[in-house]
Amino acid sequence: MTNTVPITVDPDSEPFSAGLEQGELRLQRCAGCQRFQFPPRGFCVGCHQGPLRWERASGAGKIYSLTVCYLAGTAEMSESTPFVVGLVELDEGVRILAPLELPVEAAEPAAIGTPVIARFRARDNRQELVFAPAGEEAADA
Amino acid sequence: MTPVSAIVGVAESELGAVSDQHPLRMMAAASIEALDDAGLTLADVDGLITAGYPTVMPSLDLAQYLGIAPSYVDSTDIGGSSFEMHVAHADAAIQAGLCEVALITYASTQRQDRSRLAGGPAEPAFSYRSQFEMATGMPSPIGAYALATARHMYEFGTTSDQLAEVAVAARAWAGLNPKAFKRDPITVEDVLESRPICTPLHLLDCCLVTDGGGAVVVTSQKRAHDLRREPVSVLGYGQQITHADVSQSPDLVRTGAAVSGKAAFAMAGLAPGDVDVAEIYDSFTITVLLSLEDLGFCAKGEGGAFVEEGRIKPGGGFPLNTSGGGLSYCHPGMFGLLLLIEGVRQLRGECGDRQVSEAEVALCHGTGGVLSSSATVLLGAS
Repeated sequence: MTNTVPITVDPDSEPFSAGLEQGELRLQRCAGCQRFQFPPRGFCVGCHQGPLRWERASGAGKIYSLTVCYLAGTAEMSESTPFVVGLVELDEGVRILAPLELPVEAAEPAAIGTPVIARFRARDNRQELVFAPAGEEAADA
Repeated sequence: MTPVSAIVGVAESELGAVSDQHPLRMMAAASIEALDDAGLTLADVDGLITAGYPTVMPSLDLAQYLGIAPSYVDSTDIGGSSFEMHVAHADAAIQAGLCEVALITYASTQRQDRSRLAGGPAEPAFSYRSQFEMATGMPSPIGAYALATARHMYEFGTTSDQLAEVAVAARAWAGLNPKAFKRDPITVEDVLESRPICTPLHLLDCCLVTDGGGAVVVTSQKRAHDLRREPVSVLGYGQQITHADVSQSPDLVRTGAAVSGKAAFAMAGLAPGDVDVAEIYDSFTITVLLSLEDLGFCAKGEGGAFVEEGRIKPGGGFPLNTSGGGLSYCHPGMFGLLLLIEGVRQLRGECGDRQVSEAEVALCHGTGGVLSSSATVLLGAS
């Protein structure tokens, strides 16, 4: 097990992290080829040329896969087991690994494909990106 | 194509729970034994290849410890499949005249160290992995393989029972291997009742954490025929990397094995049906299903059905991981070198109770990282 992982910004991802603090999911998009990319980079991985801009993403996507972790990979999460982690495919075409707000009993392979929406939850001194089933967004509003 | 090179010597280091040795000493002992197996000594080695020794300049450290000054070195690390790729590099280097006797070696004391990590430099804080993957708390590599497993179940209806068959068969083979770490038989129920680690994977879907290592000696066909043992020819190989971190995998249930396997079979002029014994990386039970499919032993999605009804058990018709594999024999962090050693021994006919009869072609297939790298080697008996 590794020690607590510090969330450290780098020049490529700083706008992403700043977005989370404001409750926004931001993605890099190439002004040349229009492609979205994640993780953030210093260049467009599609055309290698176009200038990159940051856009607010829809936050909508689908569960591409998921797992319930009974073992934590970090000391920070070791008190939180079991917890659910999902690989989410955003409507913009990129995939992000993030906590899923789904009950452990519901976190089965059959839940793959479920529409989800980005949410932001306070953790320590920062805002963390999580995803929740899209239908529940309206219920909460 | 006429083979360029052959494997002429193999040896394991001490395996299992090693209490009084460090990896360099284990690599040296295995290297000397593998060279002796071939009728060679360290003085004959002009190519030195390793991976996973956790220092900044591993080739230098290892060569110095061995007391040799090889003209060709390679320490390319693509995870547990590195050593299958190393056979390809050795073959190419021999063909190009860069070396004549290539020694490939690895050892790890990760059980002793109580760490799944092979060590190495700390993850830089700016890395994608630090910022976005490790922060979720999902343990690696198992979390990534769990994601692939769930996706395979979703796309193809694969079941936990089918996955468990892989672990049960590995244990049955291990029962025939005196060197295997876990030899008591297990059942599908035992696997399903073992504690969940990252769903859908249970403890017994996961490979062992042991100490261990080994060495393999590759030389030219010409030199090979003057040596002590019947050479095992390198018939074909291929490799493919696809990603580093699981979220960046192009497709969680379609690995680079589709490319590496196709290249290896094309080079050898063989097809999956020609393989007599398969040594396939089994970091987790899902790794075997994905590899069987992508290498062409069955159609995509049919890996679960392929391993049912004891097909990959001893006597089951498709001899797979005859040592007991990483699941039951030994998994010292990187298992690829031990796949090659078992493949060679099967082709030499020296495997005792677990010997596959009339084994003439062996496939050794490594998977590294988080389904990130694939490397295939086809070996042939003389």
